[in-house]
Amino acid sequence: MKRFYFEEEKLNADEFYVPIYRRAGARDVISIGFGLFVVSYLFVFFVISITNSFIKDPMQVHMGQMFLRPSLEHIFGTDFLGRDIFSRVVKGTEAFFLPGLLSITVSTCLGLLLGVLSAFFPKVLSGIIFYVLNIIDSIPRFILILIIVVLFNPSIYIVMVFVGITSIPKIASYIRARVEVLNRQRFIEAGKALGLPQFVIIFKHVVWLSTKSILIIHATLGMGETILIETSLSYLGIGVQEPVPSWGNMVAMGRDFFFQGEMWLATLPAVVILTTIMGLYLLGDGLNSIYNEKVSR
Amino acid sequence: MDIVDLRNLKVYFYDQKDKRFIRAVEDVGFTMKEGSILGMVGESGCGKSVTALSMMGLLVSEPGLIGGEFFFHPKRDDRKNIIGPLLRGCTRATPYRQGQLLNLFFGLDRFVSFRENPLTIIKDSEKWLRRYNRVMEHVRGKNISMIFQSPIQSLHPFLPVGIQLEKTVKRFNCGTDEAGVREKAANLMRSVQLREPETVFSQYPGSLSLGMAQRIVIAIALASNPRLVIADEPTSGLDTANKYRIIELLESVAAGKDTTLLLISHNIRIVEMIASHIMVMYAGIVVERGPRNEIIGRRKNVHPYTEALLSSLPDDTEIRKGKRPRVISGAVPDNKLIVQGCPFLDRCPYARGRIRRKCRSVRPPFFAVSENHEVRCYLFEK
Repeated sequence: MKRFYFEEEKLNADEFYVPIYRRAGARDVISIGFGLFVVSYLFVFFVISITNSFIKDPMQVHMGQMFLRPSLEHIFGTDFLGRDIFSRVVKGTEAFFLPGLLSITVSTCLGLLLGVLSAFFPKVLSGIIFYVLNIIDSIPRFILILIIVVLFNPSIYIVMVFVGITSIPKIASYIRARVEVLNRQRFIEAGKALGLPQFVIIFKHVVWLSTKSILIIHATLGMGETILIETSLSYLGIGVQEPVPSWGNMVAMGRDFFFQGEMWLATLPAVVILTTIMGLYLLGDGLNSIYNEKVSR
Repeated sequence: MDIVDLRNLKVYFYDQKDKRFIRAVEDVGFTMKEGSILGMVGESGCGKSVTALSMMGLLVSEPGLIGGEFFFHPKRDDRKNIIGPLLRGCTRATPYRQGQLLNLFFGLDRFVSFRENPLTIIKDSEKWLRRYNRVMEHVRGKNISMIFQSPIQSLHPFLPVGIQLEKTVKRFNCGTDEAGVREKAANLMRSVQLREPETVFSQYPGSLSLGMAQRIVIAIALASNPRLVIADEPTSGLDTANKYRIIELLESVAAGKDTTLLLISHNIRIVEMIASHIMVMYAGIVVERGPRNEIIGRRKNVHPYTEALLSSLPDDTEIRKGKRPRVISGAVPDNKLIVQGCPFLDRCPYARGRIRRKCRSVRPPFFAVSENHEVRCYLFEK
């Protein structure tokens, strides 16, 4: 039988590879850039406040400098006790930074664990795990936290652990869906055919290589939600108490003077909250649109 | 020396809707000599892939029934690891046949009932499966490796292919340093005739062409110097030129490494190029098995189905004589209806007159046409 040969067309391999900066549209670049700006100023604020290297002390009361308007000396002005608002904003990051990290650690770690377990043992564990998670999901998050705060008056760290627990169901269901899709793929079967043990397939090929992006995105979004919850609690007066500054209680304090004409007291911290949360959400959104297109292209 | 001896393999799937068993394969058996190439041919739905997957122990669909004996000759290092778990909890028989062959399905008959009617599943199968997986840890990859139908999907989408190859090499060559691993990987890439291995190395599977990905998959499958390579339709989706190249590559690589190859395809022309023995399957049973020269070369005394397969793909000389490709009329019978007689009866041009009654009532046994050549057809009854 005659065998046919044709010269194989020479393929330039570089044509197929789309680098990550070309994969992102202008909208993604802007949102990720803005998000990274927010993350970087949060980090700088936090470092300044834990090393206590303020130019103007946020706790120092100056009765002669009450209600100063924003100027070069006081960028955000001063409040009703003459304290510098910008310094207090910087100091306010302390209230949510470490608790927020704790909350997203709890939610991503437990969510990953429960999601993977329920995907790999669908008969035994999935029913139990998702029964419990659905119960958690059905309780309104903010009301649950308010009840916990009012009943037990715990520290902010314990509150944040509960915030993390309430966001487990979302992450776990995302991870389970992803793992179930991956489990049906050929490369998992090929891995089994190569003799890889089950836990290597679970932890390396599925979790580490394929669900990393979901976790990063959810961690970013979770940080935004945590800040929102902390500021709301402080605004309601059950979070961080005066005179320790927090973005929430600064807005709450400024609220009383809003209609007396001293608007920046409440507005400027609120604008910082808005910018920060918007930045974190946009960062998550931009990362999402980049990572999720990686597979299809 | 025989390296594989599969006997009486049965796989049934349970249809939960209709509450009955569907026959996937039945009475499949073959032997393979070391270094030989066996081609398995048949239409879609004939149980070729099921046979391959059940040999690897990758058949996951349950409830169902799997039975039979699978004698295999593992590498010397792995024998001890395999025999230990095989014998656990067994006192009566031994998993040996004779010589070096081990029955990897040993103990399966205790958990599967072979009574035809009614077929029953015994609850203990999970326990057997756990033990079986412990056995297969040392068989999959090291001793038997598999090439799947779709090369791009069988590579991890988030890792460069070179890294995947290197990791496989590293896994099967314990104690080799970085440079040795890299050199071995480069040798493998060269041996599968990849052009520009350096550029392919850092690419993701999604950006490779089918032929390139298939070469990488072959390289990965050969990384452990396995005894047996099962190639499940390695040419599906490739163009004609690449098909022949991949097949020739498989042949040369198998010859060079002294690997036994089980080649599964629906294209009999692809199989006849390299196979030394050919096995034809139809509707879950083996209808013919024998040496390649007997079946293809002489073209006499073959099963009607093999004849139909051959005339559906005429080769060059036949085309020059004016022969046209012929369609096999009809379709593969539904596996849900367990056919009593010969499954090819409805499409067979020879089943006329007195012989037809026989074909319909009892399934034909194997009749020896010549040495090693057996056909399941009453036409060859002496």
